[in-house]
Amino acid sequence: MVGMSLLRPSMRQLFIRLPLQKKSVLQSQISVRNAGHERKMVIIPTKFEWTQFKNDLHFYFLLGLVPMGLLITYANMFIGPAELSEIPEGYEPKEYEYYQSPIKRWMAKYIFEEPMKEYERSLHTLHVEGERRYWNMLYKKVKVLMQDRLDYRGWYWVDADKSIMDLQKELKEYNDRVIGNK
Amino acid sequence: MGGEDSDHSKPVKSSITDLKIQNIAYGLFRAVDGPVTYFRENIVEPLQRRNTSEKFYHRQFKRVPTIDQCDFEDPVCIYEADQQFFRDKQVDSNIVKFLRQRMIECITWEGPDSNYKCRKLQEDYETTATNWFIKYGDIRTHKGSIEAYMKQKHRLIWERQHPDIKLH
Repeated sequence: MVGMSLLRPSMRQLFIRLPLQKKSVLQSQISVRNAGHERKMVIIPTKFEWTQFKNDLHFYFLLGLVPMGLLITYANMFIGPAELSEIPEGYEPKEYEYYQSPIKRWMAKYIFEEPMKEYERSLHTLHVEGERRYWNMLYKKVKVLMQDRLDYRGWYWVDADKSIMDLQKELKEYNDRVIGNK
Repeated sequence: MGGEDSDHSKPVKSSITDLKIQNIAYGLFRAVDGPVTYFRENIVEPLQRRNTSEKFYHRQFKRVPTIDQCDFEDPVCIYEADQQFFRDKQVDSNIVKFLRQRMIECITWEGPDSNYKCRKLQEDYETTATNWFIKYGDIRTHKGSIEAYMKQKHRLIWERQHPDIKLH
């Protein structure tokens, strides 16, 4: 562009590909609109299905088949499945030692929770809920009987939380000790 | 269990076409199986043999009290009995399945002779299947231990009330 500036300003416009002004038929300078292009709609057959197929092939093959295939090949060739053997005397096998495939063993070690733990946890929940159910049903039964027979003055007894009173009693005793009341 | 009939007449001499077809079949089999077996025996198994330090065991379940030894409405005991019942049901179902498979294989192998050659297997399967249906038939899958217990009780009462009629 430095060389261009040596030319006269009027000649400059002949050498620039996109001139800003040109001489029109009526010998006056008009602005040239260098925007836009030849408008064409090219009608070709669709490439949508081919592109979609390539997308899907690359996705499922390169992100799915190849990594998983390599992982499974490595796990089965270089680590290998475990052998079946008798449980030794007095030995409690760990949870992951109940599976044969190395991938399943790894998952049992690091990802999943032991089924025994889940079993015991569900047993605990059942026990707690069963106790709650028992006391609720007993309470309702007693209430119904008292309403029917009207022979027991339990209808003004209110359940209270004993822990608050225990706490208050402890605080009172502590204060008495500190202050010196007997 | 091979279909060899040595006390019958000698087998018919096979024509050359039979042998050719057999060879072609074997050839096709070996064409597919050969590389795979070679790969496994010469590459995979030596690698696996180098790292045999891991063992795996079969899970052993302890026996818990069954439903007839549980307290009434004891949810913990009932849950454990249900789980044990489900495991026993799986074991029994697999036993029935294997006996059925044996019977079917025998019938398929023997063909027209199956009526008298597979009699024992058929009888075994029929008795086992009948017993399975007596114990587990028409009962829910997971919470079925109480239902199985009640079913047995009703069956015994019915048998006591109708001593002449044989159920099975």
